[in-house]
Amino acid sequence: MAMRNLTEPFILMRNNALQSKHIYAEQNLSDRTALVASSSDASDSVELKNVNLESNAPPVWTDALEETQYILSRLRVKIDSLVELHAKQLTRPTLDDTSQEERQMEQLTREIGRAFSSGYHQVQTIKAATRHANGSTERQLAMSAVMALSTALQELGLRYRSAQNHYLTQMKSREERSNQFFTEDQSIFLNNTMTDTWLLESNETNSDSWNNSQQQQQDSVLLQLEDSDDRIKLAVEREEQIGNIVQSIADLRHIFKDLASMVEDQGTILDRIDYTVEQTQIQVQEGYKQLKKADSYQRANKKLYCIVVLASAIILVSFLFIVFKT
Amino acid sequence: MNLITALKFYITRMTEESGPGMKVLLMDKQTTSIVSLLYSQSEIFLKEVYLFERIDANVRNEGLKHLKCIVFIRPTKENIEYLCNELRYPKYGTYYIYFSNIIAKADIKLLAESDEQEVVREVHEYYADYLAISPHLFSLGINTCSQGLLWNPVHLHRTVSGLISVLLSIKRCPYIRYQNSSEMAKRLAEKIREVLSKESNSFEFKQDSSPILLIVDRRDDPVTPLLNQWTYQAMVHELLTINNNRVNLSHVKGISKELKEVVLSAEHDEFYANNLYLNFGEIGQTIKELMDEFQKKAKKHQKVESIADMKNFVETYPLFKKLSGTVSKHVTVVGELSSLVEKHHLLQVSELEQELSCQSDHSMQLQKIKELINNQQVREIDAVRLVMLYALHYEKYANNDINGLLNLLKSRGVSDKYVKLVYNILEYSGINARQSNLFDREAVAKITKKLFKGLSGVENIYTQHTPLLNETLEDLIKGKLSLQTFPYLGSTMMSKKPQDIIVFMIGGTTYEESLTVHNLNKQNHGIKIILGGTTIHNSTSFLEEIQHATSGILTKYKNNNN
Repeated sequence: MAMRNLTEPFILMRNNALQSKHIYAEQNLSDRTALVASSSDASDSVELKNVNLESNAPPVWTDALEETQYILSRLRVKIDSLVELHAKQLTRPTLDDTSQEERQMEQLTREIGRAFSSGYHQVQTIKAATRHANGSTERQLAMSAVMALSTALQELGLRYRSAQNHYLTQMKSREERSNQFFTEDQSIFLNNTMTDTWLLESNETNSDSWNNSQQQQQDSVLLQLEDSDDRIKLAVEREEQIGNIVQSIADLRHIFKDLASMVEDQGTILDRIDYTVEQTQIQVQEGYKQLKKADSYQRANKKLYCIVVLASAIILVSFLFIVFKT
Repeated sequence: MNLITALKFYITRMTEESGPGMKVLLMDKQTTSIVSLLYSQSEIFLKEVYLFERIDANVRNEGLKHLKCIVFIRPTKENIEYLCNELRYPKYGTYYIYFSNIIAKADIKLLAESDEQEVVREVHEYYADYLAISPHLFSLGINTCSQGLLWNPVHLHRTVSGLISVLLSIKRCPYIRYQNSSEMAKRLAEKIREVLSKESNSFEFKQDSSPILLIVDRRDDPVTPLLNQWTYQAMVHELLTINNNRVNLSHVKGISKELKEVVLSAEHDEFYANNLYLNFGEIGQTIKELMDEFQKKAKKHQKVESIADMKNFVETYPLFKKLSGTVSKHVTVVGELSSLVEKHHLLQVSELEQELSCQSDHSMQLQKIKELINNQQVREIDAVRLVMLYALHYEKYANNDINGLLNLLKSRGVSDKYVKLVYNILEYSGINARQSNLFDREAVAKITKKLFKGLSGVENIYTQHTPLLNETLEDLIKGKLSLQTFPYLGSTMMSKKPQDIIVFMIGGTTYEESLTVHNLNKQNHGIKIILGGTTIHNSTSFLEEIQHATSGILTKYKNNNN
């Protein structure tokens, strides 16, 4: 992958060329040449001004474009950190003391959602601006920009959603697993009470040691009960979170729907650069042909018009001739 | 030694060097093809290049001063002129100029003098001056490179610059070996050495491997491009013609609008990349698998009952859409191929072609050719190709019947042009023009091989033929390639066995040879082979090449006939 940088020699040559031109101009300062030169210069500069005036200012939607690009770059970072958080959350063995991270996640999700919708709005503004764009080039430019941005947005959206979905399913499966524990807990609890009653019924006169052990057991059952209470709380919390995520996804859905409909010709002939270039040229040629055609029609019409007028004049004259002669 | 990554690197550098902001890419005809082979439009969009323009367009659009303009052109005279005009009246804000090859100092000076408004920011040479079709295959897009069996000077120049840019882009300064029997190969080798010594500064690479540039001539192996092909890529090219990865299907009846022209690019189409080198039967299998997968997915999409299903649908929809595009594209292409095969009895034709190229059983083959010529369903061109193969094979055979076959062709009403082509091909690459014995090469090895073949039976009668290139390259890898037939240019000789091999075929290479090189690359670890040609031929374009190459030459064969 060799390459050669020719910028320096180029700039050197350019400076030389400009300098020699100036020197040349200064040396020939006789009135006439100066005048002639200046007049030609003037015409040049006028022309240049015209060129400059043409479309010097960037179009209005440049800001929107930059904004969207900024949003995109931020979205990328955010989604990355969200995925990281998800992974951390999922690999964490115990589920306690996670509130801070969860809150962080929630906030991130909300921010991402907002960023998506604002990015989408920006794209819409560019799209709207295309309609008012003057000149085909500018329209083409804006259309390409919209295409690029929506592709990028779509890609990020896909990633975001798959990350969210992955997290959701993982959480769900985990919940199922914990539910299993839950039912197991209850069964143990039931068993314990069973044994309790059985114990109470059959062995009323028991040694203290037995009582003690039973006491301990009951204690442990109570502990377990408290524990499961905690878990219920946790589960409720988790459900809330999941609900939130579902909500956010639902919010995003219509956006993605719109975006998905916008970009789908990747990999087809429409996505070829040379095809696009050819098409533009064909269009230009077509336009030229149409113009020519229109021109010829115009002329043909004039001729026809002439013929009709002359013919009617002849008819009129001959009519008059007949009228006056007879 | 990967051509595609090398060129992609160049393009990426171009888009990055100008910094952020909207950009327009200004190209000429050839660089447009070069870029399109590498990147799709949506990929380039992501690099903030939003507009594409041709520098040689008659009517150019109005200017947009807020855009940065990346100029990527070949350093030809016309292009320099266009660019000078452009710089005198710039349409865009700033210019970043990249030439695809070495540019003369005088031209830079011309440009510098035109740049009165100082709009040019960068001038570079990025050596992306060839069409990279796969990582190991490049073409220069010259369809008919010779005239009167000698170089057309324009094409010679283009070929030299193309090869130089290949060498520069993969950073190799090679030893050169060329085919001794070919005047064109020698000429090209000398020209390349001239440039190498002139631009020796650019060619100072730290190379730990020993690269070799082998220049061969199509005239030594005229058989390969005449055969019908049965691997996917080669077959599509033979029957439908691939042009810069684009396949025109508009002649197919009842085709939908979006399939009138399809893109077959291994870079952007995973299915194609995986099945490029499979043969036709296997393709049918994989297409079926693809269809099944698609149907499964389609079914999944049909039952959208819950919100979860809906979410899944939205998530997978773009992928699904892409898959459906791939499926419909390949099904259409393969369907068209198989209908052509059936319609023109290509299986029979191909069987005989393979026999003609690999076995010597004169009377039976003659009989079969006559049968096929008389079969009205066999295309004229196929019949002519059979006669050509026969003529090439049995040119010096005592009682050959070339004239009889030609009369048969004439009586079938085959146009004069085709009949003449049979003489042309003998002129182009008759037994006198070939240096290696194409039809019974390496007699001893062949006999043992034949014995083995007789024992195990032929694996696939449609793919018996291996191109001559295979043998040449194997010899080269083993270090056994004869110094008489392929001498070094100059007195320097390589002592080690070669590791990086660049083969260039004057007169165009074929996809069959590309497959050969692909297999050789896989078999030999530590050896990398790159194949290039003035173009990639199928039989149609090869016949054109022959016609062009032999135009303006008095054929002795014709005189014999009269």
